[in-house]
Amino acid sequence: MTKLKARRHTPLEYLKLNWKGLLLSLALFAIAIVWLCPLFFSFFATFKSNVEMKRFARYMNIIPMQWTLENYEFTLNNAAAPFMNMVVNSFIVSIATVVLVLVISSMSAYAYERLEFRGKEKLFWALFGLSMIPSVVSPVPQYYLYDALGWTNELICLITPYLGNVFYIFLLRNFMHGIPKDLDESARIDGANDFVIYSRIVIPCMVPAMMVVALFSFTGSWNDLMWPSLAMTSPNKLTLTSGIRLINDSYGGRYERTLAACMLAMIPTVLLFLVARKYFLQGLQLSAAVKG
Amino acid sequence: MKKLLTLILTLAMLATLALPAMAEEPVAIEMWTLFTGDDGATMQEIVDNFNASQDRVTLTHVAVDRETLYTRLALAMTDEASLPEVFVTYSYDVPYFVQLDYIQPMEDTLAAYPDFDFAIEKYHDACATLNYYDGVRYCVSLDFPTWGMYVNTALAEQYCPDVLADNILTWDEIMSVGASLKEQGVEDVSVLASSWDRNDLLNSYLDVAGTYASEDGTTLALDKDAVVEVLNTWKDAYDAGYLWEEGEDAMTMFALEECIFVTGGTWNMTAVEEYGFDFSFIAPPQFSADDTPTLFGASHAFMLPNRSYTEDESYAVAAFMHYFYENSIDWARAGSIVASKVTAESEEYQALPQAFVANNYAISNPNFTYSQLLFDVLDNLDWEAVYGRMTPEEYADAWQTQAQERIDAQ
Amino acid sequence: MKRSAHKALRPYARWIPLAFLAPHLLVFCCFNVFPILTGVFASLTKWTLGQSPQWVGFANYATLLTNPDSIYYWQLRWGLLSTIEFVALCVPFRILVPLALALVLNTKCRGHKVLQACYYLPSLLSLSVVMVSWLYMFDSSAGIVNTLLGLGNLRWTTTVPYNWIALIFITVWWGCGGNLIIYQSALAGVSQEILEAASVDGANAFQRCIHITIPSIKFPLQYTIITSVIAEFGIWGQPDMFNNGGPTLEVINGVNHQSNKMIMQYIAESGFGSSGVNAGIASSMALILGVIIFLVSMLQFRAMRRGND
Repeated sequence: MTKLKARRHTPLEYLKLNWKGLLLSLALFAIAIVWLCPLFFSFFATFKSNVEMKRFARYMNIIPMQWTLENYEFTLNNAAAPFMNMVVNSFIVSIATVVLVLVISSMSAYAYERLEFRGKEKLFWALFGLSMIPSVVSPVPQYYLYDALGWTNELICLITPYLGNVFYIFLLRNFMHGIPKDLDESARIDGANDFVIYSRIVIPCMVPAMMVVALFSFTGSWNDLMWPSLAMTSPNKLTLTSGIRLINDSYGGRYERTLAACMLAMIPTVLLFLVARKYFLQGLQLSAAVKG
Repeated sequence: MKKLLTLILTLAMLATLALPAMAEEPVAIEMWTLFTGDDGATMQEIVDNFNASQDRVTLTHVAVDRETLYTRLALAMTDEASLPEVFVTYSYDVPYFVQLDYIQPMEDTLAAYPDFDFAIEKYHDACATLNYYDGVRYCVSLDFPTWGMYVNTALAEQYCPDVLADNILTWDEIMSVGASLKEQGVEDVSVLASSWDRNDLLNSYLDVAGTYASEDGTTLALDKDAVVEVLNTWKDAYDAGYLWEEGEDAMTMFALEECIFVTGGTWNMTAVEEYGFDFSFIAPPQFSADDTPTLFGASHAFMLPNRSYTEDESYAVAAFMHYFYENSIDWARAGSIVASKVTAESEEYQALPQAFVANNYAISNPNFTYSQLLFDVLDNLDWEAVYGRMTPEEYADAWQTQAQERIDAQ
Repeated sequence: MKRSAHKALRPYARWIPLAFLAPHLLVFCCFNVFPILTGVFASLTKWTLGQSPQWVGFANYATLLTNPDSIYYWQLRWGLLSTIEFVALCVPFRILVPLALALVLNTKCRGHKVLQACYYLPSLLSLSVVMVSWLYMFDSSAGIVNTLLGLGNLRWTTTVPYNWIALIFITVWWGCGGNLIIYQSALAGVSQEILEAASVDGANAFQRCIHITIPSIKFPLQYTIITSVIAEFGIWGQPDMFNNGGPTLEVINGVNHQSNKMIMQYIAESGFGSSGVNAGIASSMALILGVIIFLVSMLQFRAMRRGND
């Protein structure tokens, strides 16, 4: 124990050896503070009253003079948009979306990247091209479709529109391209079929990319605004983000409340990010796979 | 035919009355409104109280933000099953909704329940025009979100005590008060700030021109000269430095006592109350003090979507409209000018700040099928002519052209 | 002969690729293709939401492309112009800023994990928080930006080119995290052995970055370039809430040309909401935009493939 300690550098030595890195860190932290400035502002704004928000124009006080929890109380107790219901709905929708997107997209990416079939590139680019048409027009036909299926007001209609996303396939495909094919070849010689190669070899190497897709699809589904507020007519079927629209008054003005609702709504996405981020830093685990 | 229908309905009613076991069946109905935020919470409270007062009717209140509500209504219209039993938008939507076949006349429903008594005389005088289209009653008003002006009492007494003798602020007075503020070297107080360009321009325009539609309400008839005159009036005061400065937030200025007057709607009432100083609510700036101001205001109104109703559903809708009528004071406390005369005559209501304009001025908006389209163009054009990035003539042209092409697309 | 060669390359049954593709193709056909095709159909109609569409053939396209008397003709041109300008100005920053951050963070400097979280955080926000926060930041009379930089009453929302600078800054700020973690995941996989070998051979940090690091994250980089371009072509929420299109530059035929009003804002305006009365024209504009985005993506992809060979 003491030996270990003795081997360590003294602070001065450490500084001498690492001054470049430390300077870099310092600079990055300084920029990060500026970077997060709007968030500090918004965070403290959620504890302000409407009058206090307006006082900011004179006193430039980012920190409230009189703290209030009124904005959070309003959000949590707004009977027109029942909060806990919305949280549960949001979780159901987002988690289901993530799981299904991961399975569907990775299987597809495997087919495009690892398998040969006729018209492969054409098919991929046809799908890609179709996805280019801006989605702003699709809510209307989407609504008619789900209405005909009798799915409006059901959570499933908030999940299915996002499962066909071609960009996730594109992303996974591009990452998969970097995984050497030797691994699958040797597995194939050992008699493994494609489902085994896909699930036992390729997917384990793809964890970071899969986590990126998971985070993107979760955030996307969680923050979706327009479609849920069109498709869900029953107040207890609303999701959190679409419910935020019901927090502000019809003619705006109460931004502190909207911000408070948004702060509450972003907690799960922040947590997911904190859990997922260690995977982003792992890199494609090629070496581990080779050794195994 | 109508008589026969009424007869059948009455017989059906008698039949249900005769079978008490059947009459006890619970009824669940849905109401879509554009009330969010504080309004949404207040409406929810009223609905909850209503449900508690009923034996078998349960009303679900679905609050939708204003923009989405229009799209959602359009989508739901193709499938009767997804329509609510009743919804609330603006009375000026009625002609357009009738043209699109979205809504149905209310008269049969209202007449079927004489106990509730929906006689038009029991409602605010403006309802006699705003609730009718082509002589048929299409909606029942809740309240009148009305454009007006908030006055900082202390500042007004300090800088322009005589202006408010008649409770009307004219443009001449704005100019003279502005000039005297300049003279006295008062730099941190402006005369007037506008919190919404669209409503201010509409109100000033209607003050000058009276209407923007043809007599039958079907075609656009903008008076371009009036538009130009209105814009020049605002621009002169702006250029003289008597109003706000571009980029300043009107309600913030008012809250910080940096302006004597701020234009705003009845819906700003609860927020203004929190500012913590004495204020009054009067008509927005007028071109002349000679005539009584007419306030630009629409009406939030219950409408019946074009669908079939069971006897129970009709009853439930009528019961809620009646309940709202009787209990409008809860709604009035949030700043509304209510439609219910019973409430309007109450002492509590008369003590509220909005009672002054409710008692003294008429509320109206022109009868026009495409009002909403006209307003939306105005919302896009903003104060560009006052800030000098468009000439008033260009502005008038743009308003006319853009509204007209959207109307033609119908 | 050819067939057997092909067979050798494909040591699996014909149905295998289909099995892997089936789930995606199924959901895509059911839930994506139908709305898209309806959009194509809608672009050939005159259509007010809630009414049945009336077939007008290519009249919407004719109006959009050839009729200067129509407001939509100018909306399409000016909307596309602003959007293309925005894409050209914004995308380089949307790539370079997160790339630079990822490279720096990849040196595993002190606190790199906390820093990563800080820089990613804005990407988790929904549009309303982003825009409300930044509107307070850029407020002309009492904004933190003007106060800190001593810019007086600079009106960020209505002064060209500051409206563009602000919009690009906000967009980069909001979208930085997504590309950042893609780069970080990719960089973490770059072989340390090769980098060390290059270092021994005397390559400095910059040379190592250009010749080894960047090429080895080529595919993720390509992905981010293509998707960033596509995403920014669809820009809508930020300008809509920031300044509703910005200051008027000129007025032609009763249409005001706003500095930063994007094509998607015009599309949403005519397709939805209270004034959403012309879903047919909106669909035509969306399709034109879709075709342009597709062509641009194909060009990028071609250029990249050439670069790869």
